Amino acid sequence: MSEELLAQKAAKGDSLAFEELLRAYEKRVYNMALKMTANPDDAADLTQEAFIRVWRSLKDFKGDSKFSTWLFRIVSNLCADHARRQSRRKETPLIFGEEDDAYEYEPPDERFEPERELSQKELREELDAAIASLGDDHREIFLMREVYDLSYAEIGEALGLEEGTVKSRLHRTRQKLREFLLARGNIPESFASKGMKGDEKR
Amino acid sequence: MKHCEKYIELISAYVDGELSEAEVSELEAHLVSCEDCRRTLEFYRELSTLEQESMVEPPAGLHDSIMTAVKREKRRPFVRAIPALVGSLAACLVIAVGVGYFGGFGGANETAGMDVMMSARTMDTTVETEGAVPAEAGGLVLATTGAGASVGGEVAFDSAPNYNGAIADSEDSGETTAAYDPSATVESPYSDSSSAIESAKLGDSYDSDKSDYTAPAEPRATPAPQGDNSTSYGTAANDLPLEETTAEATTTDAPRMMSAAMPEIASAIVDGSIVIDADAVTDFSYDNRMYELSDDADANEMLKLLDHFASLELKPLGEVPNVDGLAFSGVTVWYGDTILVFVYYPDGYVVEGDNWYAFE
Repeated sequence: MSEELLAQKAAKGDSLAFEELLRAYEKRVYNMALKMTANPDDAADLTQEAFIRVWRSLKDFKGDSKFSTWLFRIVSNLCADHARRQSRRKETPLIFGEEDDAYEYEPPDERFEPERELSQKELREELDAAIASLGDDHREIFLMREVYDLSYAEIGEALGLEEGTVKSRLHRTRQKLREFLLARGNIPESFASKGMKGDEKR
Repeated sequence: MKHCEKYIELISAYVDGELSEAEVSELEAHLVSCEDCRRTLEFYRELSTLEQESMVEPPAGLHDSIMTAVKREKRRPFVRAIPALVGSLAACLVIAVGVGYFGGFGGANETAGMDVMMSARTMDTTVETEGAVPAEAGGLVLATTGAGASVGGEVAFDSAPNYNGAIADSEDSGETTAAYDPSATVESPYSDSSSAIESAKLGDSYDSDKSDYTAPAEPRATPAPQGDNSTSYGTAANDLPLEETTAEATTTDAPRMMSAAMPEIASAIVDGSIVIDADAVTDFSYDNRMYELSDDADANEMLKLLDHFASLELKPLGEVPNVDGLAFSGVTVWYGDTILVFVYYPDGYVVEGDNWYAFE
Protein backbone atom coordinates (compact mmCIF):
# COMPACT_ATOMS: atom_id res chain seq x y z
CA MET A 1 0.00 0.00 0.00
CA SER A 2 1.40 3.37 -0.92
CA GLU A 3 2.22 5.85 1.76
CA GLU A 4 -0.26 8.26 0.31
CA LEU A 5 -3.01 5.66 0.62
CA LEU A 6 -1.95 4.87 4.15
CA ALA A 7 -2.09 8.55 4.89
CA GLN A 8 -5.62 8.75 3.58
CA LYS A 9 -6.70 5.88 5.76
CA ALA A 10 -4.96 7.33 8.76
CA ALA A 11 -6.67 10.63 8.12
CA LYS A 12 -9.96 8.83 8.58
CA GLY A 13 -8.89 7.59 11.94
CA ASP A 14 -7.25 4.31 11.00
CA SER A 15 -4.58 4.04 13.62
CA LEU A 16 -3.13 0.88 12.09
CA ALA A 17 -2.44 2.73 8.88
CA PHE A 18 -0.92 5.50 10.90
CA GLU A 19 1.27 3.02 12.72
CA GLU A 20 2.65 1.75 9.42
CA LEU A 21 3.66 5.25 8.51
CA LEU A 22 5.14 5.72 11.92
CA ARG A 23 7.22 2.59 11.53
CA ALA A 24 8.46 3.67 8.15
CA TYR A 25 9.62 7.05 9.35
CA GLU A 26 10.20 7.11 13.07
CA LYS A 27 13.85 6.19 12.85
CA ARG A 28 14.63 8.80 10.26
CA VAL A 29 12.62 11.46 12.01
CA TYR A 30 14.26 10.65 15.31
CA ASN A 31 17.74 10.77 13.82
CA MET A 32 17.04 14.01 12.07
CA ALA A 33 15.78 15.46 15.33
CA LEU A 34 18.76 14.06 17.15
CA LYS A 35 21.20 15.69 14.80
CA MET A 36 19.30 18.92 14.85
CA THR A 37 18.88 19.14 18.59
CA ALA A 38 22.00 17.32 19.77
CA ASN A 39 19.93 16.08 22.66
CA PRO A 40 18.35 12.62 22.81
CA ASP A 41 15.53 13.72 25.11
CA ASP A 42 14.66 16.67 22.95
CA ALA A 43 14.86 14.47 19.90
CA ALA A 44 12.41 11.98 21.37
CA ASP A 45 10.03 14.76 22.39
CA LEU A 46 10.29 16.35 19.01
CA THR A 47 9.66 13.06 17.26
CA GLN A 48 6.58 12.44 19.32
CA GLU A 49 5.32 15.93 18.76
CA ALA A 50 5.89 15.61 15.05
CA PHE A 51 3.90 12.42 14.72
CA ILE A 52 1.06 13.66 16.88
CA ARG A 53 0.94 16.72 14.72
CA VAL A 54 0.88 14.48 11.68
CA TRP A 55 -2.01 12.54 13.14
CA ARG A 56 -3.96 15.66 13.87
CA SER A 57 -3.41 17.28 10.55
CA LEU A 58 -3.49 14.32 8.22
CA LYS A 59 -6.85 15.49 7.00
CA ASP A 60 -5.02 18.46 5.55
CA PHE A 61 -2.69 16.23 3.60
CA LYS A 62 -3.99 16.62 0.11
CA GLY A 63 -1.94 14.00 -1.57
CA ASP A 64 -0.60 16.44 -4.12
CA SER A 65 2.78 16.10 -2.54
CA LYS A 66 4.46 13.00 -1.33
CA PHE A 67 3.77 11.97 2.23
CA SER A 68 7.49 12.01 2.99
CA THR A 69 7.83 15.59 1.85
CA TRP A 70 4.82 16.66 3.83
CA LEU A 71 6.06 14.88 6.93
CA PHE A 72 9.48 16.42 6.71
CA ARG A 73 8.05 19.85 6.36
CA ILE A 74 6.38 19.31 9.71
CA VAL A 75 9.58 17.98 11.20
CA SER A 76 11.54 20.80 9.71
CA ASN A 77 9.22 23.37 11.23
CA LEU A 78 9.43 21.74 14.61
CA CYS A 79 13.21 21.65 14.41
CA ALA A 80 13.23 25.31 13.51
CA ASP A 81 10.99 26.11 16.48
CA HIS A 82 13.29 24.15 18.70
CA ALA A 83 16.33 25.92 17.35
CA ARG A 84 14.73 29.28 18.05
CA ARG A 85 14.02 28.28 21.61
CA GLN A 86 17.55 27.08 22.04
CA SER A 87 19.21 29.92 20.25
CA ARG A 88 20.21 31.62 23.44
CA ARG A 89 21.66 28.50 24.85
CA LYS A 90 24.78 27.22 23.30
CA GLU A 91 25.15 23.59 24.12
CA THR A 92 28.04 21.37 23.46
CA PRO A 93 26.96 19.00 20.76
CA LEU A 94 26.86 15.42 21.76
CA ILE A 95 28.62 12.79 19.84
CA PHE A 96 26.36 10.10 18.69
CA GLY A 97 28.27 7.20 17.30
CA GLU A 98 26.99 3.81 18.17
CA GLU A 99 29.75 1.42 19.01
CA ASP A 100 29.74 -0.53 15.84
CA ASP A 101 33.26 -1.37 15.10
CA ALA A 102 32.29 -4.18 12.83
CA TYR A 103 31.70 -1.59 10.19
CA GLU A 104 33.19 -2.47 6.89
CA TYR A 105 32.98 -0.14 4.04
CA GLU A 106 33.81 -1.32 0.61
CA PRO A 107 34.59 1.36 -1.87
CA PRO A 108 33.00 0.86 -5.21
CA ASP A 109 36.32 1.09 -6.92
CA GLU A 110 39.42 -0.11 -5.23
CA ARG A 111 41.63 2.28 -7.07
CA PHE A 112 40.07 5.03 -4.98
CA GLU A 113 40.36 3.35 -1.64
CA PRO A 114 41.60 5.92 0.83
CA GLU A 115 44.17 5.27 3.43
CA ARG A 116 42.51 4.52 6.73
CA GLU A 117 44.09 6.83 9.20
CA LEU A 118 41.19 6.95 11.57
CA SER A 119 38.85 4.21 12.60
CA GLN A 120 35.37 4.44 11.20
CA LYS A 121 34.05 5.22 14.61
CA GLU A 122 36.45 8.07 14.99
CA LEU A 123 35.53 9.29 11.58
CA ARG A 124 31.86 9.27 12.47
CA GLU A 125 32.57 11.24 15.58
CA GLU A 126 34.54 13.70 13.55
CA LEU A 127 31.68 13.95 11.13
CA ASP A 128 29.21 14.57 13.93
CA ALA A 129 31.38 17.38 15.15
CA ALA A 130 31.59 18.73 11.64
CA ILE A 131 27.82 18.59 11.19
CA ALA A 132 27.33 20.27 14.52
CA SER A 133 29.54 23.08 13.29
CA LEU A 134 27.25 23.81 10.37
CA GLY A 135 24.63 26.50 10.38
CA ASP A 136 21.08 25.24 10.81
CA ASP A 137 20.23 25.64 7.15
CA HIS A 138 23.18 23.65 5.93
CA ARG A 139 22.81 21.02 8.58
CA GLU A 140 19.17 20.55 7.84
CA ILE A 141 19.56 20.21 4.14
CA PHE A 142 22.44 17.81 4.53
CA LEU A 143 20.43 15.63 6.89
CA MET A 144 17.42 15.71 4.66
CA ARG A 145 19.58 14.40 1.90
CA GLU A 146 21.64 11.89 3.83
CA VAL A 147 19.34 10.79 6.62
CA TYR A 148 15.98 11.13 4.96
CA ASP A 149 17.26 10.27 1.55
CA LEU A 150 15.06 12.85 -0.10
CA SER A 151 15.62 13.91 -3.68
CA TYR A 152 16.51 17.47 -4.53
CA ALA A 153 12.98 18.01 -5.74
CA GLU A 154 11.55 16.75 -2.49
CA ILE A 155 13.91 18.80 -0.40
CA GLY A 156 13.06 21.82 -2.48
CA GLU A 157 9.39 21.24 -1.99
CA ALA A 158 9.72 20.71 1.74
CA LEU A 159 11.86 23.77 2.27
CA GLY A 160 10.42 25.98 -0.41
CA LEU A 161 13.64 26.14 -2.40
CA GLU A 162 14.50 25.83 -6.04
CA GLU A 163 16.22 22.60 -6.95
CA GLY A 164 19.22 24.58 -8.09
CA THR A 165 19.44 26.13 -4.66
CA VAL A 166 19.25 22.74 -3.05
CA LYS A 167 22.02 21.53 -5.28
CA SER A 168 24.36 24.41 -4.59
CA ARG A 169 23.58 24.44 -0.89
CA LEU A 170 24.40 20.77 -0.58
CA HIS A 171 27.57 21.33 -2.52
CA ARG A 172 28.52 24.16 -0.22
CA THR A 173 27.65 22.09 2.83
CA ARG A 174 29.93 19.30 1.77
CA GLN A 175 32.70 21.75 1.18
CA LYS A 176 32.22 23.16 4.64
CA LEU A 177 32.31 19.71 6.14
CA ARG A 178 35.54 18.95 4.40
CA GLU A 179 37.05 22.26 5.39
CA PHE A 180 36.10 21.62 8.97
CA LEU A 181 37.61 18.17 8.95
CA LEU A 182 40.74 19.34 7.20
CA ALA A 183 41.20 22.13 9.68
CA ARG A 184 41.09 19.60 12.47
CA GLY A 185 43.69 17.61 10.65
CA ASN A 186 41.75 14.50 11.30
CA ILE A 187 40.69 13.19 8.02
CA PRO A 188 42.69 10.86 5.90
CA GLU A 189 45.16 12.70 3.77
CA SER A 190 43.75 11.05 0.71
CA PHE A 191 40.47 12.89 1.22
CA ALA A 192 42.21 16.18 1.29
CA SER A 193 41.90 17.11 -2.28
CA LYS A 194 44.37 19.83 -2.95
CA GLY A 195 41.82 21.51 -5.10
CA MET A 196 40.16 22.51 -1.88
CA LYS A 197 43.05 24.69 -0.91
CA GLY A 198 42.72 27.77 -2.94
CA ASP A 199 44.70 27.93 -6.14
CA GLU A 200 47.12 25.27 -5.30
CA LYS A 201 47.60 22.97 -8.20
CA ARG A 202 48.93 19.56 -8.31
CA MET B 1 43.56 19.98 -13.42
CA LYS B 2 42.86 23.58 -13.10
CA HIS B 3 39.17 24.23 -13.11
CA CYS B 4 37.87 21.65 -10.77
CA GLU B 5 35.39 23.84 -8.94
CA LYS B 6 32.76 23.21 -11.50
CA TYR B 7 33.32 19.49 -11.15
CA ILE B 8 33.21 19.57 -7.41
CA GLU B 9 29.66 20.83 -7.55
CA LEU B 10 28.87 18.12 -10.07
CA ILE B 11 30.41 15.57 -7.76
CA SER B 12 28.09 16.57 -4.98
CA ALA B 13 25.06 16.07 -7.19
CA TYR B 14 26.60 12.91 -8.62
CA VAL B 15 26.77 11.36 -5.18
CA ASP B 16 23.13 12.30 -4.74
CA GLY B 17 22.14 10.75 -8.04
CA GLU B 18 20.93 14.09 -9.35
CA LEU B 19 22.99 14.52 -12.49
CA SER B 20 21.70 14.25 -16.00
CA GLU B 21 23.22 11.60 -18.24
CA ALA B 22 25.24 14.19 -20.07
CA GLU B 23 26.63 15.56 -16.84
CA VAL B 24 27.48 12.08 -15.63
CA SER B 25 29.44 11.42 -18.80
CA GLU B 26 31.24 14.70 -18.54
CA LEU B 27 32.14 14.18 -14.92
CA GLU B 28 33.24 10.61 -15.33
CA ALA B 29 35.52 11.60 -18.17
CA HIS B 30 37.04 14.22 -15.94
CA LEU B 31 37.47 11.85 -13.03
CA VAL B 32 39.65 9.57 -15.06
CA SER B 33 42.25 12.25 -15.37
CA CYS B 34 41.87 14.14 -12.10
CA GLU B 35 42.98 12.58 -8.88
CA ASP B 36 41.81 15.50 -6.79
CA CYS B 37 38.28 15.09 -7.98
CA ARG B 38 38.45 11.37 -7.40
CA ARG B 39 39.40 12.11 -3.82
CA THR B 40 36.55 14.54 -3.53
CA LEU B 41 34.15 11.96 -4.81
CA GLU B 42 35.49 9.42 -2.43
CA PHE B 43 35.17 11.83 0.44
CA TYR B 44 31.61 12.70 -0.41
CA ARG B 45 30.70 9.06 -0.63
CA GLU B 46 32.35 8.45 2.67
CA LEU B 47 30.34 11.28 4.18
CA SER B 48 27.12 9.66 3.03
CA THR B 49 28.13 6.29 4.31
CA LEU B 50 29.22 7.63 7.64
CA GLU B 51 26.06 9.62 8.01
CA GLN B 52 23.86 6.66 7.33
CA GLU B 53 25.97 4.48 9.56
CA SER B 54 25.55 6.88 12.40
CA MET B 55 21.81 6.56 12.50
CA VAL B 56 20.68 5.18 15.80
CA GLU B 57 17.53 3.42 16.83
CA PRO B 58 14.95 5.61 18.51
CA PRO B 59 14.59 5.03 22.24
CA ALA B 60 12.64 1.95 23.18
CA GLY B 61 9.15 2.97 24.04
CA LEU B 62 8.99 5.98 21.78
CA HIS B 63 6.92 4.13 19.23
CA ASP B 64 4.45 2.92 21.84
CA SER B 65 4.33 6.30 23.46
CA ILE B 66 3.37 7.90 20.18
CA MET B 67 0.71 5.30 19.46
CA THR B 68 -0.72 5.68 22.93
CA ALA B 69 -0.97 9.40 22.48
CA VAL B 70 -2.59 8.97 19.11
CA LYS B 71 -5.14 6.52 20.35
CA ARG B 72 -5.96 8.75 23.25
CA GLU B 73 -6.69 11.52 20.82
CA LYS B 74 -8.96 9.26 18.92
CA ARG B 75 -11.04 8.50 21.94
CA ARG B 76 -11.44 11.92 23.28
CA PRO B 77 -14.92 12.87 24.19
CA PHE B 78 -16.43 15.47 22.10
CA VAL B 79 -19.14 17.96 22.33
CA ARG B 80 -20.11 20.16 19.57
CA ALA B 81 -22.97 22.41 20.20
CA ILE B 82 -24.25 25.90 20.27
CA PRO B 83 -23.16 26.98 16.89
CA ALA B 84 -21.58 30.25 16.34
CA LEU B 85 -21.86 32.23 19.44
CA VAL B 86 -20.10 35.36 18.64
CA GLY B 87 -17.42 36.57 20.87
CA SER B 88 -14.04 37.98 20.82
CA LEU B 89 -11.03 35.78 20.99
CA ALA B 90 -9.51 38.32 23.22
CA ALA B 91 -11.33 37.01 26.18
CA CYS B 92 -12.82 33.84 27.30
CA LEU B 93 -15.81 33.61 29.45
CA VAL B 94 -17.82 30.88 30.83
CA ILE B 95 -21.36 31.26 31.84
CA ALA B 96 -22.81 29.02 34.41
CA VAL B 97 -26.34 28.11 33.74
CA GLY B 98 -28.08 26.36 36.53
CA VAL B 99 -30.54 23.58 36.45
CA GLY B 100 -33.32 25.87 37.37
CA TYR B 101 -32.91 27.64 34.17
CA PHE B 102 -33.77 24.69 32.08
CA GLY B 103 -36.65 23.75 34.28
CA GLY B 104 -37.96 27.21 34.05
CA PHE B 105 -38.18 27.00 30.37
CA GLY B 106 -40.02 23.77 30.19
CA GLY B 107 -38.75 20.88 28.23
CA ALA B 108 -35.17 19.87 28.55
CA ASN B 109 -36.13 17.46 31.20
CA GLU B 110 -33.12 15.43 30.58
CA THR B 111 -30.97 18.17 31.82
CA ALA B 112 -32.43 18.08 35.27
CA GLY B 113 -29.71 17.61 37.73
CA MET B 114 -27.09 18.85 35.41
CA ASP B 115 -25.18 21.96 35.58
CA VAL B 116 -24.40 23.39 32.31
CA MET B 117 -21.49 25.61 31.96
CA MET B 118 -21.41 27.57 28.90
CA SER B 119 -19.28 30.14 27.36
CA ALA B 120 -19.19 31.66 23.98
CA ARG B 121 -16.54 31.87 21.42
CA THR B 122 -16.17 33.19 17.97
CA MET B 123 -15.86 30.67 15.28
CA ASP B 124 -16.67 30.20 11.71
CA THR B 125 -20.09 28.81 11.81
CA THR B 126 -20.24 26.80 14.87
CA VAL B 127 -18.74 26.86 18.21
CA GLU B 128 -17.15 23.66 19.05
CA THR B 129 -17.08 22.70 22.57
CA GLU B 130 -15.82 19.78 24.29
CA GLY B 131 -16.35 18.59 27.72
CA ALA B 132 -15.16 15.91 29.97
CA VAL B 133 -18.54 14.65 30.53
CA PRO B 134 -18.99 11.23 31.78
CA ALA B 135 -22.69 10.66 31.88
CA GLU B 136 -22.44 9.00 35.20
CA ALA B 137 -20.88 12.06 36.64
CA GLY B 138 -24.17 13.76 36.28
CA GLY B 139 -22.60 16.83 34.89
CA LEU B 140 -22.29 18.21 31.49
CA VAL B 141 -19.75 20.73 30.62
CA LEU B 142 -20.34 22.76 27.64
CA ALA B 143 -17.67 25.23 27.09
CA THR B 144 -17.18 27.91 24.58
CA THR B 145 -15.47 31.17 24.85
CA GLY B 146 -16.59 34.64 24.36
CA ALA B 147 -15.86 38.22 25.01
CA GLY B 148 -15.73 39.08 28.59
CA ALA B 149 -18.01 41.82 29.60
CA SER B 150 -20.38 41.44 26.77
CA VAL B 151 -21.51 37.99 27.53
CA GLY B 152 -25.14 38.74 27.45
CA GLY B 153 -24.86 40.53 24.23
CA GLU B 154 -22.64 37.97 22.69
CA VAL B 155 -24.66 35.01 23.54
CA ALA B 156 -28.03 36.36 23.02
CA PHE B 157 -27.91 38.93 20.40
CA ASP B 158 -25.17 38.18 18.10
CA SER B 159 -25.99 34.62 17.70
CA ALA B 160 -29.48 35.30 16.57
CA PRO B 161 -30.40 38.59 15.12
CA ASN B 162 -33.91 38.01 16.26
CA TYR B 163 -32.83 38.67 19.69
CA ASN B 164 -31.60 42.01 18.89
CA GLY B 165 -35.20 42.89 19.13
CA ALA B 166 -35.52 41.32 22.49
CA ILE B 167 -32.49 43.06 23.70
CA ALA B 168 -33.48 46.37 22.41
CA ASP B 169 -36.86 46.01 24.02
CA SER B 170 -35.33 45.42 27.35
CA GLU B 171 -32.88 48.17 27.43
CA ASP B 172 -34.05 49.01 30.85
CA SER B 173 -32.80 45.80 32.29
CA GLY B 174 -29.68 47.25 33.62
CA GLU B 175 -26.57 45.25 33.73
CA THR B 176 -27.07 42.94 30.90
CA THR B 177 -27.87 45.61 28.46
CA ALA B 178 -25.13 47.73 29.76
CA ALA B 179 -22.78 44.92 29.20
CA TYR B 180 -23.78 44.58 25.64
CA ASP B 181 -21.03 45.89 23.57
CA PRO B 182 -21.73 46.09 19.90
CA SER B 183 -18.19 47.02 19.20
CA ALA B 184 -17.11 43.62 20.22
CA THR B 185 -19.10 42.15 17.46
CA VAL B 186 -17.86 44.62 14.97
CA GLU B 187 -14.44 43.23 15.48
CA SER B 188 -15.66 39.82 14.83
CA PRO B 189 -13.73 38.09 12.13
CA TYR B 190 -16.80 37.19 10.19
CA SER B 191 -16.95 39.69 7.53
CA ASP B 192 -17.89 38.07 4.36
CA SER B 193 -20.44 39.25 1.93
CA SER B 194 -23.33 37.41 3.41
CA SER B 195 -22.61 39.04 6.69
CA ALA B 196 -22.77 42.35 5.07
CA ILE B 197 -26.09 41.48 3.61
CA GLU B 198 -27.27 40.31 6.92
CA SER B 199 -26.19 43.47 8.56
CA ALA B 200 -27.94 45.48 5.97
CA LYS B 201 -31.12 43.62 6.57
CA LEU B 202 -30.79 44.06 10.23
CA GLY B 203 -30.36 47.68 9.62
CA ASP B 204 -33.62 47.75 7.75
CA SER B 205 -35.32 46.10 10.61
CA TYR B 206 -34.02 48.22 13.34
CA ASP B 207 -32.55 51.44 12.34
CA SER B 208 -35.67 53.35 11.58
CA ASP B 209 -37.33 52.88 14.89
CA LYS B 210 -34.37 52.29 17.12
CA SER B 211 -32.10 55.05 16.27
CA ASP B 212 -29.82 54.31 19.16
CA TYR B 213 -29.52 50.70 18.33
CA THR B 214 -26.39 49.57 16.77
CA ALA B 215 -27.00 46.77 14.45
CA PRO B 216 -24.54 44.11 15.23
CA ALA B 217 -22.17 43.50 12.51
CA GLU B 218 -21.93 40.16 13.83
CA PRO B 219 -21.96 37.93 11.45
CA ARG B 220 -21.79 34.92 13.31
CA ALA B 221 -24.70 33.50 11.55
CA THR B 222 -22.87 33.10 8.33
CA PRO B 223 -22.89 29.43 8.25
CA ALA B 224 -21.69 28.52 5.23
CA PRO B 225 -18.58 27.41 3.96
CA GLN B 226 -18.25 24.51 6.15
CA GLY B 227 -19.53 22.08 3.71
CA ASP B 228 -21.85 19.54 5.03
CA ASN B 229 -22.53 21.50 8.08
CA SER B 230 -24.68 23.74 6.12
CA THR B 231 -27.18 21.03 5.60
CA SER B 232 -28.26 21.46 9.12
CA TYR B 233 -28.48 25.16 8.90
CA GLY B 234 -31.95 25.24 7.68
CA THR B 235 -34.71 27.66 7.93
CA ALA B 236 -34.68 27.33 11.60
CA ALA B 237 -35.00 30.99 12.17
CA ASN B 238 -38.41 30.91 10.67
CA ASP B 239 -39.44 28.30 13.12
CA LEU B 240 -38.53 30.31 16.11
CA PRO B 241 -41.15 30.19 18.73
CA LEU B 242 -40.68 33.70 19.82
CA GLU B 243 -43.59 35.84 18.76
CA GLU B 244 -41.94 39.03 19.69
CA THR B 245 -39.20 38.52 17.23
CA THR B 246 -39.05 41.58 15.15
CA ALA B 247 -36.52 40.60 12.62
CA GLU B 248 -37.96 39.01 9.58
CA ALA B 249 -35.77 36.10 10.27
CA THR B 250 -34.69 36.27 6.74
CA THR B 251 -31.11 36.33 7.58
CA THR B 252 -30.41 33.59 9.96
CA ASP B 253 -29.21 30.36 8.67
CA ALA B 254 -28.45 29.51 12.20
CA PRO B 255 -28.41 25.91 13.11
CA ARG B 256 -31.67 24.97 14.50
CA MET B 257 -30.51 23.86 17.82
CA MET B 258 -29.14 27.21 18.46
CA SER B 259 -31.79 29.37 17.05
CA ALA B 260 -34.45 27.56 18.95
CA ALA B 261 -32.68 27.61 22.22
CA MET B 262 -30.70 30.75 22.28
CA PRO B 263 -33.62 33.14 22.12
CA GLU B 264 -34.95 31.96 25.36
CA ILE B 265 -31.56 31.91 26.91
CA ALA B 266 -31.14 35.41 25.74
CA SER B 267 -34.45 36.45 27.15
CA ALA B 268 -33.66 34.78 30.39
CA ILE B 269 -30.44 36.65 30.60
CA VAL B 270 -32.16 39.87 29.85
CA ASP B 271 -34.95 39.43 32.32
CA GLY B 272 -32.66 38.22 35.00
CA SER B 273 -33.83 34.63 35.20
CA ILE B 274 -30.32 33.65 34.53
CA VAL B 275 -27.67 35.35 36.46
CA ILE B 276 -24.34 35.24 34.87
CA ASP B 277 -21.43 35.60 37.09
CA ALA B 278 -18.67 36.11 34.66
CA ASP B 279 -16.11 36.37 37.35
CA ALA B 280 -17.04 33.22 39.08
CA VAL B 281 -16.77 30.79 36.26
CA THR B 282 -13.42 30.46 34.76
CA ASP B 283 -12.80 27.02 33.58
CA PHE B 284 -13.06 24.82 30.61
CA SER B 285 -13.14 21.12 30.65
CA TYR B 286 -11.73 18.84 28.06
CA ASP B 287 -10.68 15.27 28.08
CA ASN B 288 -11.03 15.02 31.81
CA ARG B 289 -8.84 17.96 32.35
CA MET B 290 -9.86 21.34 33.57
CA TYR B 291 -8.35 24.36 32.01
CA GLU B 292 -8.25 27.48 34.06
CA LEU B 293 -9.03 30.42 31.95
CA SER B 294 -7.29 32.67 34.38
CA ASP B 295 -4.12 30.87 33.50
CA ASP B 296 -2.72 32.18 30.26
CA ALA B 297 -1.11 28.94 29.27
CA ASP B 298 -4.30 27.03 29.89
CA ALA B 299 -6.39 29.54 28.08
CA ASN B 300 -4.08 29.41 25.11
CA GLU B 301 -4.14 25.68 25.12
CA MET B 302 -7.88 25.75 25.17
CA LEU B 303 -8.06 28.11 22.25
CA LYS B 304 -5.74 25.87 20.35
CA LEU B 305 -7.98 22.94 21.03
CA LEU B 306 -10.98 24.84 19.86
CA ASP B 307 -9.20 25.89 16.73
CA HIS B 308 -8.29 22.35 16.07
CA PHE B 309 -11.85 21.20 16.46
CA ALA B 310 -13.07 23.95 14.28
CA SER B 311 -10.87 22.66 11.52
CA LEU B 312 -12.34 19.21 11.49
CA GLU B 313 -14.68 18.32 8.75
CA LEU B 314 -17.96 16.67 9.37
CA LYS B 315 -19.42 13.79 7.54
CA PRO B 316 -23.18 13.85 7.51
CA LEU B 317 -24.84 10.75 8.81
CA GLY B 318 -28.40 11.76 8.19
CA GLU B 319 -31.09 12.22 10.72
CA VAL B 320 -30.47 11.45 14.28
CA PRO B 321 -31.91 8.03 14.77
CA ASN B 322 -32.62 8.30 18.43
CA VAL B 323 -34.07 11.46 19.75
CA ASP B 324 -34.78 10.41 23.24
CA GLY B 325 -32.68 11.97 25.86
CA LEU B 326 -29.69 9.84 26.44
CA ALA B 327 -28.79 8.62 23.07
CA PHE B 328 -26.09 6.35 21.87
CA SER B 329 -23.44 6.17 24.45
CA GLY B 330 -23.32 9.81 25.09
CA VAL B 331 -25.24 12.50 26.80
CA THR B 332 -27.80 14.57 25.06
CA VAL B 333 -29.12 17.72 26.49
CA TRP B 334 -32.46 18.78 25.25
CA TYR B 335 -34.00 22.10 25.37
CA GLY B 336 -37.56 21.96 24.31
CA ASP B 337 -37.50 20.16 21.03
CA THR B 338 -33.99 21.07 20.39
CA ILE B 339 -30.83 19.24 21.07
CA LEU B 340 -28.61 21.66 22.75
CA VAL B 341 -25.59 19.55 23.34
CA PHE B 342 -24.63 16.15 22.34
CA VAL B 343 -21.70 14.37 23.81
CA TYR B 344 -20.62 11.14 22.39
CA TYR B 345 -18.03 8.63 23.28
CA PRO B 346 -15.66 7.59 22.04
CA ASP B 347 -15.12 9.16 18.68
CA GLY B 348 -17.05 12.32 18.84
CA TYR B 349 -20.19 12.75 16.92
CA VAL B 350 -21.99 15.93 16.46
CA VAL B 351 -25.63 16.62 16.45
CA GLU B 352 -26.92 19.75 14.95
CA GLY B 353 -30.60 20.13 14.61
CA ASP B 354 -32.02 16.88 13.37
CA ASN B 355 -28.85 15.74 11.76
CA TRP B 356 -25.77 14.21 13.10
CA TYR B 357 -22.27 14.01 11.87
CA ALA B 358 -19.13 12.10 12.33
CA PHE B 359 -15.74 13.64 12.14
CA GLU B 360 -13.88 12.77 9.04
